[in-house]
Amino acid sequence: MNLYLTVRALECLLATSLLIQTLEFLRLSRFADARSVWSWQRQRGDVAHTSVWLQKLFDWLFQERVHQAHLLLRLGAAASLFFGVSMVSAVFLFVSSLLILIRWRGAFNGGSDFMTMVVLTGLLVSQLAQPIVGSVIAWRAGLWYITIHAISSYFISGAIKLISGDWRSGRVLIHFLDGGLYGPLSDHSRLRKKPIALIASWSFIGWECLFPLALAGPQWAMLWCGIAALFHFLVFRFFGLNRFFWAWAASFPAIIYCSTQW
Amino acid sequence: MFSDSCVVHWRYGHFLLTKRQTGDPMTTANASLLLIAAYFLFLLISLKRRGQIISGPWLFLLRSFFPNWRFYHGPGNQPRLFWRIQDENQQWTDWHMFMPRATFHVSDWLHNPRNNLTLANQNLVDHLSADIIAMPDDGDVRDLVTYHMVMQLTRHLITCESIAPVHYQFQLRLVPAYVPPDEDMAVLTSPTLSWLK
Repeated sequence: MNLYLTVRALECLLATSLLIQTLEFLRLSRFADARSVWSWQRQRGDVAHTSVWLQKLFDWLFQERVHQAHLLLRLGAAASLFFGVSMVSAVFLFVSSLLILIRWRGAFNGGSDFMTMVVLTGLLVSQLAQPIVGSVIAWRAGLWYITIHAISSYFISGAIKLISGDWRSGRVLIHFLDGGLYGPLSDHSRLRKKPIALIASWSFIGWECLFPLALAGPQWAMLWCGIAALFHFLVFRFFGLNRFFWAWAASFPAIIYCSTQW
Repeated sequence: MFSDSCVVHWRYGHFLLTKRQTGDPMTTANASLLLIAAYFLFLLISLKRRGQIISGPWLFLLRSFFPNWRFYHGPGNQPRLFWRIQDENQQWTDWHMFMPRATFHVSDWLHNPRNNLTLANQNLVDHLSADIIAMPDDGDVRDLVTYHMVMQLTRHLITCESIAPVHYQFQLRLVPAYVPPDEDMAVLTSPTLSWLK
C-alpha cells in the first residue's frame, strides 16, 4: 500500500467516522435528557476551577445556537476530508473535538472518542510537520503515531483480559453480554454454553495480545485488521457501540502502511 | 531476550532469527523492531505494576489524550442507579433499576444517537460512583456536579414512565458480578425529594 493510497483511505474513513458522530450530536438536541441532564447550566460546574474569562468563553460556545452552528461547521470540515485534508481542516477538527469532549465531560462515547482523538492528532502532526520535514516524513510520523496507539489499544485490552481469571474461564463474557445494550442473551443462546464462551474468550484474548504481529507484513496487517472489523461489528451487535467500529476502522490504513515499512 | 549479536527479522509473515556478524551496524529497520518490541514489553510490565494515580479537573476533561484502553477488563462492581416514587397516600413503590436496553436495528450502525445517549447516561452513573469514592470524608455529595446530573437523570427516567409523583428518591448501588442487586449494596441514597421543585 503506497503512501498516497494510505492517506486517501485514512481521510475517507475518518470523514465517515466524523460525519456519523457529528450527525448524531446534531440529533441529540431533540432528546429531553440531552437538554435536561446534560444542560450546560448544570454541567458548567466542571469548569468552575478555571478563570472567569474561560468560563465565559465556554458559556458562549456551549449556548445551544452557537453549539449547533459549531456542529454544522464540523459537518462541513468532516465532509471536506473526502477531497483531502488541509492545515485548516486538521486544526479545526482537532479543536472542535476538544470542545465537544469538554461539553460531554471528557468523553461522550468513551473509547471511540479516544481513538478519534488519536487519528485526529496523527492528522494534525502530518499537517504541522510538513513545512519542517516535508510531506513524506510528516505523513509517516502521523501514521506511526496512529499505528502505535491502535496496536497498543488491542494489546492492552487483550493483556488485561489475560490477567483476569474470570476472562480466562469464559465466565465474564456471558456476564458482559447479558449486560449489553441489546441484551440479555436468550436462555437458549449458544454463547451461554461454557465451552463456547471459553473458546470465544480465548479467541479474543489471543487475537488482541498478538496484535503487534500485524506489523510483520501487509498480509498479516490485513488479516488482523479484517478480524478487527468483524470484532468491532460484534461489539456493535451486542453493545450498541457503532462509533467504535468507525473510529478504529479509520486507523486500519495506517497499520497496513506501517507494516510495509521494514 | 536475544543477545546483542542476534536480530529478529519479520518479513511478510516469516519469523527468522539470524546471526549477525559482530561489529555490523544495526539497520534502522532492525533497531525500530527492537524498539517496538521493547515498547510492548514495557506495556506488559506496566499492566502488572500500577503507579500513582494522577487526577485533576483538567485531566478529567482531557482524559481522551491519555487513553488507558482497558475495556471490559473484569467483572468488578457495577454502579447501578435505582429510583422509587411516593404517591399521594405516602406509599413508596419498589426500587426500579436503570438498565440501558434497546432493540437492535442494523441501521444503528450508521446512526445511533438515542442509544449512545443512553450509554452516556450510564457512564454518568459510573462517574458519580467514582466521585463518591474519591470524595474526602468531610465532603458533601451535594457539591458534586454528577450528583445533580444524576438527580436530573432520575427525574427524566420517572417522566419516561408517564407518572408524576409527590416525592421521589434515588439510590446508587455497587452491584458485584453474578449476584442480584439488593439494598445492602447501596453507597448513596438521596433524601426524599419533592417532585415539584
